[in-house]
Amino acid sequence: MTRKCRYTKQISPLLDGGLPSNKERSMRAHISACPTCRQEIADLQQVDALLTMVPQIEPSRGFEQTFFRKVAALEEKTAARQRFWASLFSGWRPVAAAGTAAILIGVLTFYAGVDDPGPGPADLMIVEQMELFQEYEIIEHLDLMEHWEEITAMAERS
Amino acid sequence: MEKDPDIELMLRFQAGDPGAFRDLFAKHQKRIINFCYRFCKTPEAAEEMAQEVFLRVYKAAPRYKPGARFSTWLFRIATNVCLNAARADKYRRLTRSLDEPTRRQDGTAVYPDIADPAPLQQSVLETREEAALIEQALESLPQKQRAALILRANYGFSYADISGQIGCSESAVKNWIHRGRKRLKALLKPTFGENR
Repeated sequence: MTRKCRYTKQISPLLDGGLPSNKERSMRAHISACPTCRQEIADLQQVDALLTMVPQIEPSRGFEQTFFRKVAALEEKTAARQRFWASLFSGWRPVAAAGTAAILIGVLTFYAGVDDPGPGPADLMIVEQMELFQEYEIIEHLDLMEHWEEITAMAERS
Repeated sequence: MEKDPDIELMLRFQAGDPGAFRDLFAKHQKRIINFCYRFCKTPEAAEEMAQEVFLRVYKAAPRYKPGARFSTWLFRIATNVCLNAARADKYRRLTRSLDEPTRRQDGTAVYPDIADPAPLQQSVLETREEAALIEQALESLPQKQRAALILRANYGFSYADISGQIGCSESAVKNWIHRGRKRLKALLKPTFGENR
């Protein structure tokens, strides 16, 4: 049975050139005097050799053909997508899209531009009863207070 | 960095030369198929995975920027495809008797753990059972450990390359390779004994 050596952990990186040069030098010096490490080198080299001996498979006859069929399908899909986007900007579609956009903009502008009617009869009633309403905090939460500034201005004027 | 002819081919493909891609495909297909075969159950699955690898290369071409060697980049994609497939349990090997061949879709026999015997290269291993034993030992390693060991022992990538391919630290790669070799040694030494 081979004896254990604490340096055997360094054998694998040594074989792979993965040790810093100073460590590599000291490992090589150690190995020349250590039969356990020499055996470990032989064993691990054999493992690597066995891995390279495993039979390789050859691509099947249809491999290349199948792959380039997939490539052609991919190209066709990409081209179809490009055609779809191009078609959106050709013929009658851009006119329809522009028309729809114009209608939407018009509707939005119309509603955004409707004049605010200003204070109504309910607001005037509040003005008249200003002192009373100011006693109730709840009034601050009513939609009526939308025109609060104008109402207070009216109250001051009256 | 040394001039990499594969990078030149990839750049030519990026510039619109489809023949350059065909050259890359022809050059690397066998290596990629065999790499994938270490993570799946049949030659068909290995080919399917390899096609996925090359499709990703094809799609990535417009964004390709030469950095590392082309093969390092290619195997990064392959590792990604293999580890994802293994994680998804998509192409896991089946447990089969050593004597029982499976069948390709076209009906030809495929012997366990070894591809179609017709295109099989002459191996130094004496018997089919010996090859199957090594494959089974390799299969017993955790996915990333297996990938690291194969990338090192079969394809000669450095720890730095492998850490980029798997997406982990170099010290993890070093550790996986060390542990992988030790495990294979323990599994294979009783059969293969001293160096041949």
